[in-house]
Amino acid sequence: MLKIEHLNKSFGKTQVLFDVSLNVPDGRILGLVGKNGSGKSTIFHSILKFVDYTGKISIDGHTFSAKDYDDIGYLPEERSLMPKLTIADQVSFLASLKGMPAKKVKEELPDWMSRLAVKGIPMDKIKSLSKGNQQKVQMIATLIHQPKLIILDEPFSGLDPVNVDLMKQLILEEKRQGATIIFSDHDMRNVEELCDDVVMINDGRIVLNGPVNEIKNSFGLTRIFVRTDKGVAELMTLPGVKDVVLQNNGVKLLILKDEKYGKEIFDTLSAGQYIQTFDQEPPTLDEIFKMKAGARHE
Amino acid sequence: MNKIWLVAKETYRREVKTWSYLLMIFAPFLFFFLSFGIGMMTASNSDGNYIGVVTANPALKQAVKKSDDFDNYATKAKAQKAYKDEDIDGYVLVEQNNNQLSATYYSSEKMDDDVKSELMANLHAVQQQLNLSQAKLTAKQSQVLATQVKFKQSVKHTEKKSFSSDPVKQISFWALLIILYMLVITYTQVTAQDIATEKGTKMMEVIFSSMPGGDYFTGKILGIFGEIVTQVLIYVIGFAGVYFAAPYIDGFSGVFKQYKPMIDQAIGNLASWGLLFTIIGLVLFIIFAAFCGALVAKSENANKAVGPLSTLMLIGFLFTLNMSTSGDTMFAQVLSYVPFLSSFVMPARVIMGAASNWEAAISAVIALAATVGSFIWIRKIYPSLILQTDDVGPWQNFKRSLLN
Ligand SMILES: Nc1ncnc2c1ncn2[C@@H]1O[C@H](COP(=O)(O)OP(=O)(O)OP(=O)(O)O)[C@@H](O)[C@H]1O
Ligand SMILES: [Mg+2]
Repeated sequence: MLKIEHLNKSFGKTQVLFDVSLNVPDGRILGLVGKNGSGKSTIFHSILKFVDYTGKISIDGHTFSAKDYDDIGYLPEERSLMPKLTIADQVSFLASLKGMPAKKVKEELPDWMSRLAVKGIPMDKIKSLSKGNQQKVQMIATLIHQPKLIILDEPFSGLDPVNVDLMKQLILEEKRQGATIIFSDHDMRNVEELCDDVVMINDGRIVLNGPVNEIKNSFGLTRIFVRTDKGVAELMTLPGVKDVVLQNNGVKLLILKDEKYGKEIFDTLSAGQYIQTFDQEPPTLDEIFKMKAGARHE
Repeated sequence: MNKIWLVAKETYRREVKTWSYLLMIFAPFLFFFLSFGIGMMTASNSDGNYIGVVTANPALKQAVKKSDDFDNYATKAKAQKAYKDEDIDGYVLVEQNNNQLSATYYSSEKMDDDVKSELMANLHAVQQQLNLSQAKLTAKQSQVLATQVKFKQSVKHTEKKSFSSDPVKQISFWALLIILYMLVITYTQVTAQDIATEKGTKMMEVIFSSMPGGDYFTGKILGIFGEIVTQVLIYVIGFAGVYFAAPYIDGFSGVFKQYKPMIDQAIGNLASWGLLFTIIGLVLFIIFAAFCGALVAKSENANKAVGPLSTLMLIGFLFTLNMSTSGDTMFAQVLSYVPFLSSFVMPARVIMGAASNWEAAISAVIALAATVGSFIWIRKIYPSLILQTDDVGPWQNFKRSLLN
């Protein structure tokens, strides 16, 4: 279990993290979301002791020490490998720093490469690979030593949809094998799909923290997707409606003050009429993110 | 510790495998063999030949036997034959007529001045004996006549200490200066380039998630030191090969024999303080080269980054070069205690006899302290320097890393 308590971090006079506390329980996946510059990477850098900080970060109850290095797999935000090395040499070197014997790497590497559909053979030079394939090799280097704690800084950026799916499968597989995983992302859908827990951070402060389902439900079923002829102005007059957003397929999204208005709205809209679509749901994480982060983001 | 070795090994392996490194190491050998081969070809028959002496005088025969330059021949015919066969450069016919020695030299070239004076000295001594026995002196008289000037040297070093007159000191001095210069200039570049390139790949975060950045720095320095040791070892072996094989190489043995005592003494000079200061100086320069390499964001700028170091080294080099004429100045005395520069200046002062072992030891301790201090300090800030990948310039990078 990774535990962060009252983490504060300043670069000189500028403070970038304010009293950040979060837990990643064993065997769960935590998604860390926030705008650009909100401090996600800095949290990771603090966990790995790249920077000094105040507060307490512990792994399985003790503060980070030299022993923990071998149990961590880290994929940094800026991806890069040594272009002149072969895939085998690069992965072997990185894995050997994690205490994994080169022989074992040699045995397992071909399997990993086929699992991740990396084009080429272990003796190929890194520079001969496409950018996406290099990323996948880096992912192999992150995971091949079977770390207990996996830290991924925007693992899906720069990958095509097929490879994003491949990567997601890989992450879920790691979870099945008992790893504890924390990753950052901008795309809420990835988080919604993969994560058990989510932490939302805005300008260095945690604004949301908890299991994905609980968070969504805590906002109540305040979203109604409805297909109706009525205009936006008319819909705005319905009880409890805060806002109306036109969706792309003729569906209108009503945002409610509270889920209790749902029945009343259904009665009003359906009075003597056929309603093709009426769907009351909690807000998506994306919406929650936008609400919490303010409308200006990205 | 295990990981430090892994890093050292990897650093070493990557560099030693490159063409540029191999070329750098073997270029001097290539150069040596080429120039030596050409030299052998052009000078193959001018070297190592003797001058034959034909004489009946036993005393002279004895002297010739002892000499390196002359060989006895029993008859003129034999000497002539040896001359024709090019075994000797020429021959001297020494005749004795009524206690008067006369010598005639037969050759295609004039006799070398050194050789001639050696021959003349011997001839003079023999003639002197002949004269004395001819004079039929009493024991007392001959004793009186044999009295020689007593010559003792009492040299006080009142003038500036220098080594311009002593070839051994000159050899040691030049060897030291050139070795240190070559190693420093090569390995500051190699180090800065290696580290800047690595930083440029931006994969250091991965490595620092596997081991403490300070340990990684230690590993790098060890690996680079391994490269230096390899180069020096190859040169030492190469030199030792020449040194021990030289007496058996035809046409080279003579020259070698002549210079061997000097070379031995020069090695002695180098192997003492010179070696220690070279090692300390190199490590100090390399640590700072690593620092400079870590300051830049692009590997292309690595050469620029070591600019200040190169300047510092050039100052040390040129200043020490100048000392061969200016001698042990006040300025030299001061600089011989300043780390970086002391590695050049202090050994030079020791070699010229201007600094005592005590002074050298104090300077060595200062340099060592500076090296250890810098190592500890740079080891500490190294990770934050390396992780600062924004291209904001070396100075900003440095300031930022202190904030981390
Ligand atoms: N080494 C540093 N020196 C000074 N400021 C820094 C440093 N590293 C990060 N910052 C600042 O800290 C803040 C948080 O940066 P961080 O990289 O953690 O954001 P992030 O959430 O990872 O953003 P992104 O989504 O763009 O990756 C930013 O304002 C950034 O400018
Ligand atoms: Mg980031």
